[in-house]
Amino acid sequence: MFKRYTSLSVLVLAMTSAPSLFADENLFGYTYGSETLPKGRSEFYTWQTFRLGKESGDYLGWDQKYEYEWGITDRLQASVYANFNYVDIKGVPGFQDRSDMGFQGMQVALKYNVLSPFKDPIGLALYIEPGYVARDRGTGGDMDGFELETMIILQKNFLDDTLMWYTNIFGEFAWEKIEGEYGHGWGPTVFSGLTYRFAPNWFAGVEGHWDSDFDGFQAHDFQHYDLFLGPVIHYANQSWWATLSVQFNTESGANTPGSSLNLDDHERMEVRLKLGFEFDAKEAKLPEIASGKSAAFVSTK
Amino acid sequence: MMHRRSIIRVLPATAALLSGLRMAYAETYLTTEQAQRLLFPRESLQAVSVTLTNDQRKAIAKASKVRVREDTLSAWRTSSGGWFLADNVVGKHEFIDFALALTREGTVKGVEIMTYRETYGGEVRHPKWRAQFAGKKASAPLELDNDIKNISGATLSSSHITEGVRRLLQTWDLVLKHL
Repeated sequence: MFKRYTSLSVLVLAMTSAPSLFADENLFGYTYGSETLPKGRSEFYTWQTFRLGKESGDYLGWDQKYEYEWGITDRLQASVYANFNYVDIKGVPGFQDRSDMGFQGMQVALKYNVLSPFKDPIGLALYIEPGYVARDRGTGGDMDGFELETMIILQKNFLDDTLMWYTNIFGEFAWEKIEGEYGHGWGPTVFSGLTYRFAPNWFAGVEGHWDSDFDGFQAHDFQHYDLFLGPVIHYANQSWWATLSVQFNTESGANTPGSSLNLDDHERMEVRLKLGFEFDAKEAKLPEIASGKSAAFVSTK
Repeated sequence: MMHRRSIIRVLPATAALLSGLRMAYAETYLTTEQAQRLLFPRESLQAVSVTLTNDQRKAIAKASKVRVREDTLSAWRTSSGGWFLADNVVGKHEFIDFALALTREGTVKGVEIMTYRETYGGEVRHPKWRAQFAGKKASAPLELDNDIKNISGATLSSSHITEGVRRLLQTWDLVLKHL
């Protein structure tokens, strides 16, 4: 048995956030690729997400993540990150007016590359991320929770790896205490995106995610689903990259009165900017080559 | 409004992190002329104008299983009847320029990476990895994890360079050897 929350579904909001793991260069704002950082390499990421628009009133949510990621082996990478949240709420029904920023939580993560999209028929990676949540992103209220995110990452490349399709099957499990009440639930989500390198250093595409909320771990605990879609653009060079993604809330299976969208747990749109920076790295060691030849070429004369 | 103290606390930390950034730039290791002297040190080379027809492009793509992106070759014939080909393959963000040296019989004499612009995967420049192509002919599979060892952590570069060599060997077999 579990207790339902009397406040607006704060657990739902916490669970329907996109996974916060970064793994090397992020071509999308919300969807992940199967590659991992090479051994010995490290990167720093920041992502800034602005959530805008409720059914009425003024609402701005600003989520900040700061992550450090490193390659343990060529197939396994680890990440650690810290999250902060700012809300500016005025006159939104069901929400308390407030304008402040606070520490939102921390996570650690592991990502393992099983198959490479560059030489295997499909790219495949597995991902797990436990974390602590201290603040509700939607309301700014205090909470005390543990979340476990898991993901199967699929990737298929076309046209000399200039056209890439990513799909993530994601599950987030949460156990949380809000306003003295305990609760748990999970939220399966599917992320998918398609991007194309239209010019050197530049990618553009579309991505979306279908997420659902269960206010418990049983099938009858299903609460609602939401569908987000939007464009994404990405730029990268040798030392840094940037991704801008806009997601529009297009459909929901649970409606706010007077709206066709679930604007209690989500907003009308999200704008996410990611920046990634590579730090100095040691030269990767070349594995032994079976041929054993050390010369650049062999004369055939 | 956002608390100003929050912004002030974040900025110094961000500046400290940014100070550790590696400022990289494209690396040109060899010009075309330098690669020619390295691969054919005792021979003269003459540029040959080669433009592939649509049928030739299709035949090369079919034989190599690699897209032919351009119809114009950067080709030089050597005094011994060999070939020097300058080409490029898709990297993660930009292109990787490389050179392929073929003997008169269409056997790989050597591969050189001329310009590398990517963050990762530069291990393809290592002589031991490139030496795997020496002696290969158009009949060779030229596939990663088959007759060409992959470089873990540089799979995209390894894959595309291997495909580029495979494409050019088919280009020699279907077009150049008949010139």
